[in-house]
Amino acid sequence: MSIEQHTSDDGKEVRIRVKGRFDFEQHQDFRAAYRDTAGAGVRYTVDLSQTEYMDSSALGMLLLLREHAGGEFSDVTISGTSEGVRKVLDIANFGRLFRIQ
Amino acid sequence: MEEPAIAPKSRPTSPGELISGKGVVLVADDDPHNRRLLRMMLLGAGYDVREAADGRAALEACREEVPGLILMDVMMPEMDGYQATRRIKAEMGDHFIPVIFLTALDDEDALLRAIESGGDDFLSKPLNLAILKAKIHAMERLRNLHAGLRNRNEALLRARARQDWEEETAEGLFSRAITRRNRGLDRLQLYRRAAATFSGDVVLSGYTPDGALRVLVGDFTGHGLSAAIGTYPVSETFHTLTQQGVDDQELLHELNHVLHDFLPASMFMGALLATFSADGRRVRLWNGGMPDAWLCNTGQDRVRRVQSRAMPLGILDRLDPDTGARCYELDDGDWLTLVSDGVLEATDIAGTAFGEATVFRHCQASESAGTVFDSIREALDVHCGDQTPADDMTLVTIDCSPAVVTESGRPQSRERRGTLRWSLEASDQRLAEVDLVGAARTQLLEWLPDMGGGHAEALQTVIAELCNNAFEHGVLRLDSGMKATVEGFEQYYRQRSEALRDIRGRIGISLRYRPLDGQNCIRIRVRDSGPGFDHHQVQDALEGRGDRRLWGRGLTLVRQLCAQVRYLGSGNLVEADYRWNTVHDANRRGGKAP
Repeated sequence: MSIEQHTSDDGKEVRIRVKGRFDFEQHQDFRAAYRDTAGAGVRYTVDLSQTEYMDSSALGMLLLLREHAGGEFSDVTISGTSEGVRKVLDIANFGRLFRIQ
Repeated sequence: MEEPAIAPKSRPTSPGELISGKGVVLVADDDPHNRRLLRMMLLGAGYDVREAADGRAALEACREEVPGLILMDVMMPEMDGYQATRRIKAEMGDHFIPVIFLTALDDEDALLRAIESGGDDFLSKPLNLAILKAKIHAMERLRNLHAGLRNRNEALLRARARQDWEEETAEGLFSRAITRRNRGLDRLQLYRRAAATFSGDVVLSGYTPDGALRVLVGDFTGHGLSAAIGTYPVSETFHTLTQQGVDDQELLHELNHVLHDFLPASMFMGALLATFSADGRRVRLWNGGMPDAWLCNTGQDRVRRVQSRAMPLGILDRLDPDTGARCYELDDGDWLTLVSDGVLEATDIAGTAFGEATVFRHCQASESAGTVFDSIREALDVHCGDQTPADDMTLVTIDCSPAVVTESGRPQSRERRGTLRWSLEASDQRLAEVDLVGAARTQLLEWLPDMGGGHAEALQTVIAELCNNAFEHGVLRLDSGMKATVEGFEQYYRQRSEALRDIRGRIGISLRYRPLDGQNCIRIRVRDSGPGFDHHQVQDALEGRGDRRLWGRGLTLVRQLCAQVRYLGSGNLVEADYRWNTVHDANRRGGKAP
């Protein structure tokens, strides 16, 4: 269970990888991963390829990231979703708010 | 000469302070010489001293008077020092009595056993007074620390108990505030288990003015108090708008609006909204962020899946104009089953989730709303055991076939040119729940929002009297003649409250609006399932003929307010015509104009 963050040299791309369970326990680490990034204008990618499970509070955290990234004008991609994780995102129709790969 | 060697071990205080000289010290040693020596030392230091010649005597002495400290020899007859220490420590429980073993320092095995048996320290023989005092002092500090810790622990436990109690009380208040306006619960089977005292899952139900049953099952992000708070505005909005007869689409927009304004960005509510038409022929379903719901019918061997097609509420600034609600035709025996994601994700001891497939399997295998509910519930209980769930769990099944049947839908047109009709029927126990009079009033106000002139109130009086007669005499079969005497009056109301427990029968009310010769005409018909009565006599009385007294005052009042009152059929159908002049209204409005 960990969160890894990588920011490109020009600060325009931020990659956040969530390993293991993505639930309320991660909320501080997840927030820390984007808090000091520029927000609007940055391309964010949340890599869930190593995420085993996510719950509704994780959805809430993604919404907070979206807000930080500029809300309607945000550029947030969710990548590497497993079948279970994809199902959670689909039920909430998050495809409308995020680019899901 | 020993003093300087000890001082650095303790706090840098004066040696005099070491001799606190208070309390009782128990000396357990089988050697009278050693005991005497110790007693002299301790008395000299200001302590009270008790003596025991063996382990058993030490135990007895502790039972008689709890000492502040015990000096324990190892080898003693009857019961040795280890055994005595173990027993004393066990009997004293939380109460800390320091035990210092008196032993030879070179015997490592003995030292180890001393500590294992519960001893707190050891002293080597021969005893040195300065070291003994220093150790006693250290033990006193330890004892104070222990007592302080215990007090704080107790305070913490008390505070915790108090908080639990307050939380439970608050939850009780809160959940009543949420559920007090729920109606139609006879059609719902509900099982809930919360992850914490407060639940972020919510189930609301109510009737629209035209008799449709509306149910909302919601699940807020997370669980506990923060998730529960959001349920309050949802409940208030749901019930207020449902009572006003607002349609699904509008209700969803309003709920989304309220939640979007109210909740922080990370919170939202997944929800399923189901509105069953009053005639039980259709249901409109909307799923936004809840797991699949199942619309099943065993007789037809049919399972329909209701997937989430919309965003949960409270995320988007504005919902799409078309919310994505879908209408389904219903047949007798249809039921709807829904669980919150807490149920799907509930894990057993092995960590396996309950899962969607399990819910689906139970839906396929069940005969009716009742059996599917019981079988899922039992399976869930077995699956979860006694574990507190990780998330709030809600299981709902709704019987789609209503006990209430409306004969005709509500006319869509608000134009007042033609004839308008509306009717509503309720049966059995639902009669105690459905507000026929209120529903009729709402309908009239919808047709004639600006009728004014006290007509709405008069019409309500008429409808209420007629419905009340149908209910008390037609359905409950109470004899109004009883009310003639004081005793009878009491008996009447006693019988009435008894009869309310098991209502069997049916009342239908219909309204017809028709503009006629410059008049507004409302015809009210109330029919009950009772056997009727000899209405000709009543009819005569109504027309002013015959000498039979009318039942109570109700009917007289109705007669005075209405242009015409007639009993039809066997007397179980009453028809009242209420009329007033539209011209008069128009004049009045005209008069107000500048």
